[in-house]
Amino acid sequence: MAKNKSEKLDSLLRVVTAFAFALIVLSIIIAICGHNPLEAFYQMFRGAFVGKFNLGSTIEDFIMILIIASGYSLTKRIGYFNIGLEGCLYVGAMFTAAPGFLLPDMPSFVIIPICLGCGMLAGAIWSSIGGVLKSFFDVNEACVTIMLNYVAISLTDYLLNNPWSAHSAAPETPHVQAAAMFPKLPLAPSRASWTILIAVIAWIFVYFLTFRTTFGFKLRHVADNPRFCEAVGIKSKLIILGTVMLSGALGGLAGGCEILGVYGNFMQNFSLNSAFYGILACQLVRNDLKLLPLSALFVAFARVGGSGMEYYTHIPKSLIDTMVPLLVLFIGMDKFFDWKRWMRHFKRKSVGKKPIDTNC
Amino acid sequence: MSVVTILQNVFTYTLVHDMIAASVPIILACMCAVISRQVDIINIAAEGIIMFGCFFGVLVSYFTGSWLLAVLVSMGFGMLISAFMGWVYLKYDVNIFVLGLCINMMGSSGTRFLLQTIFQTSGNFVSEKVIPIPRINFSFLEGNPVLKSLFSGYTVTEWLVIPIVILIWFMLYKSVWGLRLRAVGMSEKAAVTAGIDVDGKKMAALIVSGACAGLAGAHLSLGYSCLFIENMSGGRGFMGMAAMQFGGANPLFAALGCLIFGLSNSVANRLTPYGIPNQFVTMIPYVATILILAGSVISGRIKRNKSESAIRA
Repeated sequence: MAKNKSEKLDSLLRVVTAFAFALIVLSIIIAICGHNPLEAFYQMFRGAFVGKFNLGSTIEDFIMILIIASGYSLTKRIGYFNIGLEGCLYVGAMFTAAPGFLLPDMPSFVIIPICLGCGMLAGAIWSSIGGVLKSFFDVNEACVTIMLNYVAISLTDYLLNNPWSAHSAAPETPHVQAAAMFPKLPLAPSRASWTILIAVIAWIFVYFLTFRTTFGFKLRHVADNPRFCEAVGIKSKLIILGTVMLSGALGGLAGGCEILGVYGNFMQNFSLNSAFYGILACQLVRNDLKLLPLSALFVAFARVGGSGMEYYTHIPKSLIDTMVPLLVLFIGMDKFFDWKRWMRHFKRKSVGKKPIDTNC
Repeated sequence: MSVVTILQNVFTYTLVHDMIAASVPIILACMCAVISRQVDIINIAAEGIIMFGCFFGVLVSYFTGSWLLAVLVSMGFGMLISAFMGWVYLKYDVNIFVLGLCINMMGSSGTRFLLQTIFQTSGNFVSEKVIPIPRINFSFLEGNPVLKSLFSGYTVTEWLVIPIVILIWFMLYKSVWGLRLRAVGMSEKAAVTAGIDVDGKKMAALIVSGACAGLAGAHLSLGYSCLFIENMSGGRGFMGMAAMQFGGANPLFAALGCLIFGLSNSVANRLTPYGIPNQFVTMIPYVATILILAGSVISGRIKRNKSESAIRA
């Protein structure tokens, strides 16, 4: 996929135009609501980065979004739309918490790998259902994994209400042992912890795996031409299954980091579609792994900054939550924002007949 | 309390009414998935369109006092959203799942934003000025509680579901329009060769499916209940999609699948007070759909392999 320089520049320009357009739409809506857009953006920035608590909250969000986005990026590369990461997140979080409160007290360096390992294994097994059905039986992955999300939510709901209930007022599991918790970052009131290292390691792992290993080479080619891969001896089905399981393991890891870094126990509905924001973060940069942390930071900034904006200017946070998917749509349809094409269009109204579409 | 008493309390004749009431929004959402599946588009945006439908139903009903206008506006808005989806999908080739995911997320947060800015409340919106869809009561059934529960007290939209499902089935399988639509879904290249306007057919299917999802939303907020709650669609769009898979994109079988979803939902609701873990009952339709989906694909593959080996031999 070697693009020449001017093409790259054009593509960047289109993305910037799309971004600016989304920003203008947002400003207009804020202005209609009777607020000053600049003031709102300033408060949004302050709400996300200024002060220990705000910065900590952004980092807390960033950790999960980066891990999920790394996992999604793997499957995206083989053309598998892994909307089931939400389910992996739930299952992984539950099975990260379970050894934490079931096993006897142990030192940190033993219990943390056990917990995270269980969570990742659970996530991998959970997503392998969709992976097996996709790779061996060609069942559409989106249909299966959406349903598996609901099954995962019901299953964890059962576990936290019945066998693993904390018997407190709220539906939650007991707290994991103190040694299993990650130390917090020095951003005191916020709950951000050193799981940020795990997030960065996960991202570097995915980058390294995709571009520097044989497995990555195979997985990058399986999407382009599975029949060619089979012909030269790459077992494309196993590659797909392996990638999907790895992605599920990362989904489980994201849930595990939430448990061991932030909450300490599994609570009902703790995630509320956070996995979908990870997917959006990956879509925002069109699966460009180098830009992934930046995009994850942007999504975390939008989510947390929205709260700050709501607090100071009374513009609802839900406006920002609406604009993030809209921005992803704009970035996706960036050809619409090609101003050169519009210029041409306006210069000569009669462009002539449309060329016949040969590849339907 | 013994198991038999609990079962007797759960499986009463009123369960039928509950089941139908719970199924109708799912059936309408399911029709959205069915029509778009027929042109080979997996439309996961029903959830988001339902949310917009719910909100605009309540909004229009509140300001104009007409439930009919509210239903029509909801349907129109659903068509508008799916037309936008079709434009983005067909012209700019955005991945349909990403598109659906974005619409769903916008549906959930966008309605919350509108609720907060227009009605200045958050969470839910209840008002006496919201006119619900009227319920049809048969006075001659008043004497018989069983028949009254079975046939009386449904809203207009609940009755309308039957003709809608049959109409969609008829349009898809018995009309020229439907034949061409299904041709696009089965083999796009063949359809182009036959001179069918593929993009036009896809757009038409998406717009009709948007109308169905909008109607589902209006029914959910004005017929099933008479209020707006954040995230009130509660996964019904995805249940409809699951039922579509269950019925193999045939409206009639898919509607049957929706009844199973409705039944499991109402049984799960009735089991809750007895302290029985109802999560497994809620899970049944999803698991069943996955099994049926996998089963149908696997059996189809075995059949194909057999016929191919017969040709070779």
